Parts: sequence; structure tokens; C-alpha cells
Amino acid sequence: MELRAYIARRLLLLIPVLFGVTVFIFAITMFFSPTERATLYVTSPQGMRDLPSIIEQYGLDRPFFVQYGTWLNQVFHGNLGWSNVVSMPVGRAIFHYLPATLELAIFATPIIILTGIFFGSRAAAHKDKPVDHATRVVAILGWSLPTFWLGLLLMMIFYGYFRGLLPPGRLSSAMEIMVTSGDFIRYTRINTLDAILNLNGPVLLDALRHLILPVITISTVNVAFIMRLMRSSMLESLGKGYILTARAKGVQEKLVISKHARRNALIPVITVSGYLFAALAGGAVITETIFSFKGMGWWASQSALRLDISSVLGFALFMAVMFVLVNLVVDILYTRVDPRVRLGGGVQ
Amino acid sequence: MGWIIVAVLCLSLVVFPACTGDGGGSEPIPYLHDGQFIQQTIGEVDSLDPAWGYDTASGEQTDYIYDTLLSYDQESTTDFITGLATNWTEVSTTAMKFHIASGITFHEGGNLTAEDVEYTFERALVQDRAGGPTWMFNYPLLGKFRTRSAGNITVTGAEIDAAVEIVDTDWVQFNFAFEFPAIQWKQILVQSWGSILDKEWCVANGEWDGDLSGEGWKAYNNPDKQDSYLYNHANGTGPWKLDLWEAGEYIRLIANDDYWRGAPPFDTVITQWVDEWSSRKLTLLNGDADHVYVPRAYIGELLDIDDLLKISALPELSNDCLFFNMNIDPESDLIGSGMLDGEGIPSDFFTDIHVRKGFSLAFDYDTYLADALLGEGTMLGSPLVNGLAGYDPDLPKYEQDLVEAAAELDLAWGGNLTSLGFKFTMVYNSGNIPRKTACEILAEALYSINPLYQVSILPMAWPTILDNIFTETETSKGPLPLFQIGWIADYPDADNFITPFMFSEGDFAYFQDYGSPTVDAMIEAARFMANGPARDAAYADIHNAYHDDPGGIMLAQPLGRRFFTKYISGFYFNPTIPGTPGPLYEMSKSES
Repeated sequence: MELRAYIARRLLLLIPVLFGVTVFIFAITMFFSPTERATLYVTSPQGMRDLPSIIEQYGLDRPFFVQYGTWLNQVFHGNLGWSNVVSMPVGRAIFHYLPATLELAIFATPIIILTGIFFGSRAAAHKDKPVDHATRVVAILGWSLPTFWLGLLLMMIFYGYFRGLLPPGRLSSAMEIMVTSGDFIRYTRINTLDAILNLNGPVLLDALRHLILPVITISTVNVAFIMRLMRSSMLESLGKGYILTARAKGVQEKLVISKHARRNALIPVITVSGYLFAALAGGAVITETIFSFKGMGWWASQSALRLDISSVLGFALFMAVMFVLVNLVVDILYTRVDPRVRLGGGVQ
Repeated sequence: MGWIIVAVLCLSLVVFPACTGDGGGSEPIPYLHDGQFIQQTIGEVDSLDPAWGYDTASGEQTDYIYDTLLSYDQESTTDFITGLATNWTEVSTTAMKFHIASGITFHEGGNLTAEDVEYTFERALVQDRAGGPTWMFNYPLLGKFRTRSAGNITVTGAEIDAAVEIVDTDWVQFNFAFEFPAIQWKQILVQSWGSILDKEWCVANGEWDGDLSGEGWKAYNNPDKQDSYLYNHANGTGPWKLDLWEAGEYIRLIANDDYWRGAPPFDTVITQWVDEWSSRKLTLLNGDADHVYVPRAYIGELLDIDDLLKISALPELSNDCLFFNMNIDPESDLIGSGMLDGEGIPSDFFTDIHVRKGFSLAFDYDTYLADALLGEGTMLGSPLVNGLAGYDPDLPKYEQDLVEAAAELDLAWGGNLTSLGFKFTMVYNSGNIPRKTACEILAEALYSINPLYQVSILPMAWPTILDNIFTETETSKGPLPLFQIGWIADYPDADNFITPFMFSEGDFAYFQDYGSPTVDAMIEAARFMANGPARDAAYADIHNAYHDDPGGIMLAQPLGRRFFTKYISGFYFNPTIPGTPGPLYEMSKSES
């Protein structure tokens, strides 16, 4: 199938996916009573007497399909609603919080994937040897570490014990003033990228200083997963006939590992890596909260906790689009890694 | 393998000292960010529109940006100093006027006039958003709490116009719908919702144009927050100007160097919202913040750190109460069988005064104070709290007496309660440890009196609890047999605490089916009395009425604390100042 047609077909699939996701989430929120949903708009006990008025104002007691229809109509007019938890339109909230999350994902994903592939393949190549045992222990440890514990520990060490070395947040207050001044153009709101585009070294260094701990925290857990996946996939590849043939032909072991075994073992890793990136781009709630690195995960969790339905729906729409697009990219990547794979046609 | 062992050993050398230490707390806190005041807290600003914000975070920022007609004199809640009004006078018992200062400019350059003041209050009345603070203007000026009923606007433009008017060129007069005490009006005006706006600037940015003659003003009644330009823009006369509000992250204010009282002490005021306590604590100890919000449970972590300015025992104008529901929804699944058969309670269980007195005597107040508030609170005998006129610590209050409690419960329900027992479920908002502790204390005490007195405890999400408190059917109130909620002062007057708890139409009393015509009459008589011995005596009677016929178990008035770096000075405590850092304009920061 032609690439363009394949992409178009996959994008068309987005419509039923988005419809299904929003109906599902909207239906779930209807389990909460109108009063529960109205409390989002009340900030003091004194305001409780106005709950009936708020319910009426926002139509929270109308039938499900009326409320959903109102929301959908709004969306068709380019309005995703109002995010009350952050006092801005939902569309703007996505663009406001996405850069922080993307910055984390952009830095963490390559580290996770490359480290996972490297140690996973080394472990498989040295099965049951000390390197393999050590890698497995590290993988189990990394996978078992609670994110909040690791994050707090790292912060206590590198911000508390080593006074102010790696601080939380995205930028120090002095740099924050600099980037929000007229002299600095925020092209993307991804601080490191904007610093490069503005040729601003101090902001770049400050942004990197703030990124180190959250990236380590996210990577530690996820590297372990990729490592284990790569190891098992590699082991499977190493048992295949073509590896035996290559070895029998006297191909160097290094080449057997890197050219024959690793390349074939990558397919499941690519699949998982795609989902990993999509998941990271959806936000890492705990990491973002601990390090005050406020991104999509923080926004989504606050919205869910306060029953901010417009925000939750906006976030769900974003995630659905993100996963469909990542799936698409992964499918295209398959064809590069394994020439036998054809788009829309499975394996030749 | 060797490199892993070496790496683990190196890591251990770093981790263990860090974990066993105090997070760097023994090192001196460096003096950083000269000229800036940086605080980290948890409450996000809802809106910068003074007529909208009803939360402390919004009120705090509004206070920095705007000015009000008058201010409290330091710690006092009854003495005032001039603000944008240079003078004021009581025209009659139903009118009060304020002389507006001249020569004061807004941040955007406009001059302050009496027209701005008139516009500010009329706009608040016109807007009157649901759940907002303007009921405090509506009630004295229009005679009703809200400008709407069942979705229809119930006031006329002429009524709003007549409520606030310019007299003698530069005086603004407020005309009350009934006799209203001047002191209460001043206490209302001094809060953030009394902040004065620039009419010309507001109108130029799409706000209501000030015309009350036709029907056009009604379009501005009860708007959505985002419909107002003022929710995220600000133009006041105050010491700081809004520089940037990054919602969810921080708000940054910069000094208004032309401030009419003199340049403010900080060039920049930054409020950052940081949810994680450890992060806030380390930021304070590294000198990257001058003040952080400290939850009560973590106070102990900072007490031994010398480099901090620690201020304690600040009586906040708030309280918490365990309310009895006299008319529980019979369909509630929290009352077991719904009958007095030992397997549940009837929906009118708490109408028996012996039950309520028995519960009040069973509660272990000392343990509550020690465990839930870590000793930082004042026990109360009625909704009145320390700091309000009429509060008297010597008035009677309940103390735990299990023998007396057992005796009261023996008398309850015709003497049948002791042999039958009861079962029901109490709820608390999940995550709120003090409220969970209160539930456990009551449940344990009742069980210790009689093993047939069984109360189970259930956590519930806060919105769900609110839904179950503020609800009613045609014949009953909500499904919660007992509920816990607190009250924070709108303005520091005894009536602001007594009415919600004891007036039969009050915010809480109504949803308990609690109150009596006699007490209502006492409350109404005391409401508008001038402060003094007669009013104190009236509130002493009301206090005693609550003690004799308890509507709930009054838990405590919390005592607050503040933690600053040692470089901050000038703090004083006025319980009505919103937010935690205090009177920032009068505070300063220096290395010496």
C-alpha cells in the first residue's frame, strides 16, 4: 500500500477513536452527581449555598446526551472548553503544559532506549555470565524502585546535601525572569531548545541543571523495562537458524551480535519505545509533581482530582491523537528495520 | 562485576550521609535573591478579579496589586487607617460616605476618582457571580444575598444605582437597605473584594460600561470567569504591579515605584505553587525561597533549624466542627437498618438532646488537640473563635467525661439506647488526617462506654462529601449522620461565625435541620448591635444556648505558624490578611 494512502487511512481511524474515547470518559464523569461536579467552581464553604445556581448555570443536571452534545458542539467550533484548575482554555493549557513534558520525554527517551538496548543486548550476548547477572539485578532494582522514593532521594542528595546543586522546577527564578523578558523569544517553550535558538548559554545550562534529576528518575524505571525486553528478544534471536548459519560460516561474533541478532531483536523494542514516548509525552505525574516540573501529567492529575471534566476530556483527546500518531510512526519504522514488513500487509 | 560494586559503594557514601542528615539544614541558609521576595505555597489563584476571588490565594495577590478604601491598623480588626479614602463618616444608621483621595494613579496611568469607586462597587453588584464574595455587598446594600432567584435577576438597575452614589464631588456614599453597623461595613470593605478598579480601563477592555438605565447590564450578571478581562489582568493602585501569571506555576509582581505610600520593600514578589513538601522545604533551606507553606504535620522538621524566623501561636479566624444531622435521609446507607434496633440508627437519632450531649461529653478533646493539631489549637465551646468580639474563653465548653457521657446516653431514646446500642458510619474527606483522627477518637470513646455503641469510619472524596452535606429531599436533609467541615472568616465579626452554625437558615444549620425561633431571635438581635459589653453579653447567651443544645462537637480553632528565612523582618499578625506571608508592604529583607 502506498505510504500516503496508508497514513490517510490511519488518520481517518482517529475519528471513531476520538468519538469513542470522549463518549466513554463523558459517560464515566456522569457517575458523579451534578453537585459533585459543581464543587469545582466553589472555593470556600460560604460558596456552597450557590451550588444549585452553579448547576443550573453550567447545565450539570441536564441529560447525558444534551451535555455531551453541548460539549461536542463547542469542540466543533474550535473550543475545547475551560480548564478551571489552571484558569485558561483547555486548548491553551495543552500548549502551555506540553512543552515541559516534551522536554522531559525528548531527553529521557533516547537515554532509556539506548541504555536499555545496550545493556539488554550485552546481557543476552553474555547469558548466565556475571555481566548478565549484574544487568538483571540492576534491571529488577530499577523496575522495583518507587518513582516518588527515588525522586525524593535524588532531590535530598543533589539539592539538599549538595546545597542547591540540582534544583527542582524548570528554571531558577533569575533565568525565569530572563526568558520572560522581551529579549528572549520563547519559540517552543521547551527551555533547552529555546535557549539554543536564542544562543543563550546561561539559560541552556540552567535548564539542563533542572532537567538532570527528573530525567534520571524517569529513566531509571523505564531503562529496566527496555533492558529486560531487549535481553529476552535478543536471546530469542540468538537461537534462530540464521545466527547458527552465520556462526558456522565463521562470521565474527561482534558482527553476529550487531548485524544479525540485534537488528532482528529490535522490532518489539521499537513497538514498546513508541508507546513509551507517547506515555512520557502524556506526562509523568509523580516526577512532574516531585520536581515541580509542571507538565501534562501534573495538569491531568489535578484536573482528575478536582473533576474538571473539560480538562480531562481535552487531555484524553490529546492522548488518543498522540497514541494513534505514535502507532503510525512505529508502523513506518518497522519497514525500515525489517524489509519484509509491508504497510497494511503484515509480513511478506 | 567489579565496576558495579565500586559504583554501589560510591553511591552509598553519598546516599547514607544525605539520608541520615537533615537535608542540609545544619548549614547556614545563604542570603540569596536580594530585592526579591520568593514564597512557595500550594493554593493556586482562582482569579485576579477582586469581585470574583473568594479564596485566600486570589485575595493575597489582589491585596498586593490593589488598594482598598481603608486598611486595618496593624494587628487590630476593629481599628482602621486611611487607604484610598482619606476620611469617612456615618451619614445615618443606613448610610455611610467616604472621601476619596486625590493625586493617586493606577498602574496604567489613570487617575483615581470617586467615579472609579462608585463603578467598582456597582460592578460587583452587577456581576454577583454564583459562589462569589459579593453577597457581603448585596445583603447590606440591596437587602438580599443574591441578585438572582431561580435563574432570574431580582434586582433593578435603579436599586443598584441607588445603593452607591457620588455625593459632594469626591465623596462616595453607600446607602444600606436597613440599619447596618458601620464597623461591619468597614470590615467588609477592607478585604480584597473591596479593591478599587479603574473604570476607564475596565470599560476600554470590554467590562460593563457603568450604564444601569436599560437592560444591558444584565448581560454582565453571573458571567463565566473567563468572560471578564479582569480574571488575568490587573490594574490597581497598589504597591506591586502584575508582571506575569503562569497559571499553575507562579505569579510574579514587580514594584510600583510610584506607589503613593512610597516605594515597596521588594522589587519583585514571586509566588510559586509547589505541591511537594520536601521540595518546598529544601528550597527554603537553600535560601531560594524566603517563605514556604508548611503543613502542620511537617512543622517538627523545621523547629530545630536556627536559621529560620519562626512565629507561632497565631490564632486564625477559623474552626472545625463535627455536625449532627437531625434529619438524616432515611435512604442513607450510612445508618444501617435505619432503626433503633442495635443494627443502625433512625433518621432522627440526633434530635434527642441526650445523644448530642453524650457524644459531646465522650469526645476526647485533649487527645484531638495533641494528635490532630499537634497541640496547636484552642478548644471551643461554640462557633465563636478567639479574636472576635464576644469571644470569652471562660464560657462553658465540653470536656471529656465518660461517666457523664454514659449517663446522658443512658437517658437517650427513653432509656433504650444502652441495651440496644447503635451502629452508623462517619465519613471524612480522604487524606485529611486531623478529620480522620477526630472520627477515630469519637468512635473509640463511644465503644469504650458501651461495646454496643459502634461507629465505623469511611473515607470519601471531598466533592462527594460536599454533595452529601449540601443536599436535601422533600422530607429530609443529607445522608451523612455526622459531618465535619470548617469555617473561615469572611470578615472578623461574631455574626459571621454564629449565623452559619446556629441560625436556622444558616449555611450549616439549615442542612442539619438545627435551630430554633428563640435562638434565631437572639442571633438577629445581636447581629447589628454595636460592639461593647451589651453585645458581648448577647453572644455569651448565644454561646450558652449552643452549649445547652449542641448542634455539633466544636473541635478547635487552629493556631497558625509562619516560617521565614532569618533575613525577613517586619511580620505582624492580622488574622484577616489573606495568605500566609503577612503584611508584605511593611516587611523587609536584608542580610544583616
